[in-house]
Amino acid sequence: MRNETIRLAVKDFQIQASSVKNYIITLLVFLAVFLLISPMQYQAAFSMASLITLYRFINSTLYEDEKNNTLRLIDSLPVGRETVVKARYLSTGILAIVLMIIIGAAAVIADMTYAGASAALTICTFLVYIIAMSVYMPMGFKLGYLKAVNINRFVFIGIFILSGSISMLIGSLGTRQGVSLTESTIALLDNTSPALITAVFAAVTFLVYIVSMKVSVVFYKKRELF
Amino acid sequence: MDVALKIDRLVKKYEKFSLKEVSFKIPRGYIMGFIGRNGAGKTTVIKCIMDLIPFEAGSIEVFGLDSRRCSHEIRRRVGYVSEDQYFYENMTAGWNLDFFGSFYPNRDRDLALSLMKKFDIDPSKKVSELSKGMKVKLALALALAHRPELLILDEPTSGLDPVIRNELLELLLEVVQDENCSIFFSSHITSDIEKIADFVTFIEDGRVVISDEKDAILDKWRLFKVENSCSIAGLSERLAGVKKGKFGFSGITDNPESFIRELTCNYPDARYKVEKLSLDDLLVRIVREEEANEE
Repeated sequence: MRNETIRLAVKDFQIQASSVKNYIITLLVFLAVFLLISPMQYQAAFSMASLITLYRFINSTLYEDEKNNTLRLIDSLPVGRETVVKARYLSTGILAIVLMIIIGAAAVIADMTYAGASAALTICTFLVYIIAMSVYMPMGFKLGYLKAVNINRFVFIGIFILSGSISMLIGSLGTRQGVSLTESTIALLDNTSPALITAVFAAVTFLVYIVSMKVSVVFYKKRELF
Repeated sequence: MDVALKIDRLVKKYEKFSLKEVSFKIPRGYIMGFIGRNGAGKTTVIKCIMDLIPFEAGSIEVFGLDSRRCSHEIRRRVGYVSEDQYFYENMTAGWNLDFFGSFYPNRDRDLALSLMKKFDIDPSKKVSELSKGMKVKLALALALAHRPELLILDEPTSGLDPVIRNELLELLLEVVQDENCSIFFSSHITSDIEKIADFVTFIEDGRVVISDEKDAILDKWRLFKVENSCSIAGLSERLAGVKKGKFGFSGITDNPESFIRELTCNYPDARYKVEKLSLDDLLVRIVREEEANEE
């Protein structure tokens, strides 16, 4: 990996160094709120709180560049636009991995009896959110922070409605055929190790993330900054 | 002659504005002032040089390298200060200089620090706490810290008070003592350009009107003030930027001898005055001429 990419990725953390305290407070507040709403669904609470931290990180980096117009200065340096995009995906990826390790560990501590399954469920839920972020980031590179964040509100609602509808459709199709697809899927998952499921899902998420990065590169190369 | 920058018939089209076959060149080791009023196309030309925006036709060569094919190589050897300064406002001046400077392989950290000291910039101060003048100086320190062979400055003095403007101009003169460094300096403040430039290019409505050595321009162009005893018809065609008044008319020409011959031949008793022009007068008259031609 080129030095420029690493320097730009490190910069994303440096410019937010003064906000670390706020990040931790946000994470803990959302965690507490989600646990209060549904104490049994602690995996979802861990994942949601982590998603909010990750989403805030992406938005803050996009916002800092947009507010200060620094993309213009970066664009005049001997650095390619592809490098700028790769660096943003690198910094977001690093934060996602760190959060995954933290929430995985937290899930294990929260439920020692089913430690493996609990961690796997928490991480897989978080991976779904990373896929959602992979949809959001190309918008940020194409349209800039302000437009992207507004459009994304509707995209997120759309994704949740769509995913709910698809699972209902699959369920009803399975039932009509005499065998509940949901039940057979659960049976299949029961017989597969949580680590394997998580690994496969992580690989799929990684692929989506890479495709998202390639799309962002195309968008950002065409974007008029001046 | 070794050329630092050569622009040949550059065309860039926008919906309401276009650069029309812009051509000029800067020899190595000299300062070129790029003059034109706001919206004349100065910044657009600079953005094309830096490969920040695409252009439709023509070519730009920096140190003999094609600006589009070798933009990274060119950016490594060029120092660029844009019209507005873009830094991470919540970070310190020192951090910004270090971060942005780190992308230049030739960056000299000691030089960057000494420039900050020279410009009285406190490295520990946040950029948001710096004045506009200080931000320009910070941008200049960043542009100079990798010892560029060409310094491209887009209206760096606009919005600065006369004392800071003067400081900045003196500094540019110091920079060009290094004969390897050329400066391309755009401004609508003609007095700044008159102070330091060796060459001057005038741009108006996307078209280069004059591009020559500054002294040659100032030697060649003259302002004629002719009294009403002479008919403006015929004579005014030989002048540019003609202004009619109560007692006569005035205009400029780059061929004063020819105009005097014509005038005295037709009006032996003609009463007229010839005056030297400043770049400012020249810009105003040229703009007037261009507007008249458009009408």
